[in-house]
Amino acid sequence: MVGKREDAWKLGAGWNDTFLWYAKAVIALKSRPVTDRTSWRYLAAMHQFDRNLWIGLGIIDKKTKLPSASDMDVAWNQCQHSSFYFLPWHRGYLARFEEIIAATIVSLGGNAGWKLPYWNYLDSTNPNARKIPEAFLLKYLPDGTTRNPLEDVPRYGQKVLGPEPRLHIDDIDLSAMDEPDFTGSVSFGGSKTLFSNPDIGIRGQLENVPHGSVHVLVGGARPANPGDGYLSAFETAGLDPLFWLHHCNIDRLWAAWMIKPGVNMEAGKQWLDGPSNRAFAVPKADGSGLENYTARDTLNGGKFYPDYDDLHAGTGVAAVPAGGQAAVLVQGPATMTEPKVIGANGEKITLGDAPVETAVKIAPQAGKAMVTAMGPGAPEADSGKRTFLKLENIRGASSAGGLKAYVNAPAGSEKDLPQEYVAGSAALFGLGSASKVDGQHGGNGITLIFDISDLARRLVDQGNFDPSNIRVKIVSAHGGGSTNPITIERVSVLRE
Amino acid sequence: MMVAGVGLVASSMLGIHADLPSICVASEQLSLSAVVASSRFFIATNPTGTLALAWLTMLIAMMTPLLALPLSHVHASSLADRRLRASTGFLLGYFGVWLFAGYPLLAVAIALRLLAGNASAALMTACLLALIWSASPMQMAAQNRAHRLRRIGLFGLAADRDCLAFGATLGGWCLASSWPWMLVPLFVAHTHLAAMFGVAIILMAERLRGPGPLRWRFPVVLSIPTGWIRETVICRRSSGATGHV
Repeated sequence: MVGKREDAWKLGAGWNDTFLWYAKAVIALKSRPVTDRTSWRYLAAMHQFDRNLWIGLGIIDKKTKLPSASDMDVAWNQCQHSSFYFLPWHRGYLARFEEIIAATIVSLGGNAGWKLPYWNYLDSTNPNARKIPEAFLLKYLPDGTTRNPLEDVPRYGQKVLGPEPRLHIDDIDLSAMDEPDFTGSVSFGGSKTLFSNPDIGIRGQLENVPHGSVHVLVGGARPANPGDGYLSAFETAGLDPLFWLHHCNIDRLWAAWMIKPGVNMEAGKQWLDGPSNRAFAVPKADGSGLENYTARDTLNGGKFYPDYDDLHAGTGVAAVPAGGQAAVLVQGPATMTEPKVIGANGEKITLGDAPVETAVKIAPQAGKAMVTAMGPGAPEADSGKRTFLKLENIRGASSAGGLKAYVNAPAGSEKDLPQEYVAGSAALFGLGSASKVDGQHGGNGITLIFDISDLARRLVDQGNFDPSNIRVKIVSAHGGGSTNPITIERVSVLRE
Repeated sequence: MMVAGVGLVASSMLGIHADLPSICVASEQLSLSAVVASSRFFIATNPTGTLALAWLTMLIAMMTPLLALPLSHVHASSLADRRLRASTGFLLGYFGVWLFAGYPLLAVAIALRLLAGNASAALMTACLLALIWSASPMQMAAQNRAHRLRRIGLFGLAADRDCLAFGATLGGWCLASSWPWMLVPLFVAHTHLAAMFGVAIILMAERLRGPGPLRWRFPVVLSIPTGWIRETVICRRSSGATGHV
């Protein structure tokens, strides 16, 4: 393969060649039956498929012939979330999608070597970076009559990325890039799981922000928007042509994180050669069959290892100065010890439209040690330890939504909770799918971990931190509202 | 796995299994009165405590490998100094449900033996029943629910109650998911331990298959050999891998 993946905003405004050919290829893929492994719908169903939902949305009808059961068992419903397989699975998925689009472009008379562009939304040097690239907003192709498939998809959210207070989703940033470990309950890449995370899985920080946020900010979610767009649900995300550019940037952030000094990459066999309970699969580029791959195939030297034009702009990873030495990637056990639970609330939370406050109690000895460690005379070894707030098994029927948690916010500030008490916020991308008991993900919902080390330190300094009574206020906006609320099994505090 | 191994060894040392399946493996045709008489003799010669212990060791040997992830949930959700207590509560709940299920399962085994006419036919029927159950959406529904996590309290009796309830709920769904397979070793006398081991592998494979939508599907035990053939003969797994990083 030739060429490199480039920044979508650097390809030229409007209908540049890359986007025009992408649009033509999407039209071609959409015209293929869903039984064709190179069709638009087959490729989207590899992420997640729900027959009833697709019928309801008019993507297929009741009579549409689907692929064979064995084909669907191997290739469909594969999306990996809340798992350390999130990044490698999506990398292989993107690579094969790119090859199929490139091959289609050649068959349509275009040039070989088409590469998937990335949407570099966090490039602070580009004033347009946060805008959806123009070609995805135009109604027609340059001929003025052909409907533009890059735009012709339900999107109800933002056209320029930013915070969405109506969904309680804070602005996107690059804080995930500061996580030193790839794997773990608090990590860059996600926690160790089996295929599709049927049991215990925690989102990596990159999967939370910017990944999940961009999905919901652009797709939109009720009640802030008139609907939940395709990007907001596992089952429909792959049907939006913008999905692939968004994930291309997420993939690039992973590639950039790998060249960052001090990071610790996963090297376990379960990750490299797994999952052991079901293999990743992609169609062959010509659709003639399926082939398996592993995370190992997505690393340097592997068949799905990508090549980007720039790993610095919009990644927060500084370029190596001239004459300097590139960082050497370390592979091995996590550098941070797995945080342990030291406190929790007393009961399951039900969350509708109104904020809910819950009291978290920390075990007396651990609470005392924690406060001491944050004080001025703390031993150096303890003072750097991190503290986390964990929201466990968030379940709900809505396909998406948003959520924000505050710690010890002043009483009487319900309507305008001060930002300085924010523990964290998250877009609940794929909430409904992750909560479905009879679905691929086991119905255990979404588990989030927020780093509250700085907030806890500030609260201790202010004398506003009683370990026996930490007040956690949670606000959420989701389609279910108060009639169909979301639930949170437990709110806990963890410490390194 | 070590605990399962200990369970297997204990199970073989108790020697009860040669008696337990004996009701179901007699070669001649059995009448209802003969079964009742056999059952009475069986219970008289095997005190309830010994029977329960035998059933429990069989369960520990077969079910412990399935509990790694739920146990790690209990472990990670509990205070460091309560982890042993929490895990014990969970296991009490889990095996408690299975322990009580022993009698109804034995009754089903006897009924199956009566209906089948002879021991070999009963074994074949049990295997067929287990295969059909494995393929069914009902089994999938039970298996899906056996993946569901619930909150574990952190302090006091509430924490103990949560662990016990989590164990009992999970045990109930595991029972619903795998009960026909548990009948199979009861019809095998001479290679009873091997049958237990085989069934334990099947149950593990079913759990590893993970949750999914409710529909009829190929039983896992049959998809293992066909999957192996597909992977090793038809398409080589990760054919393009040449190294990493």
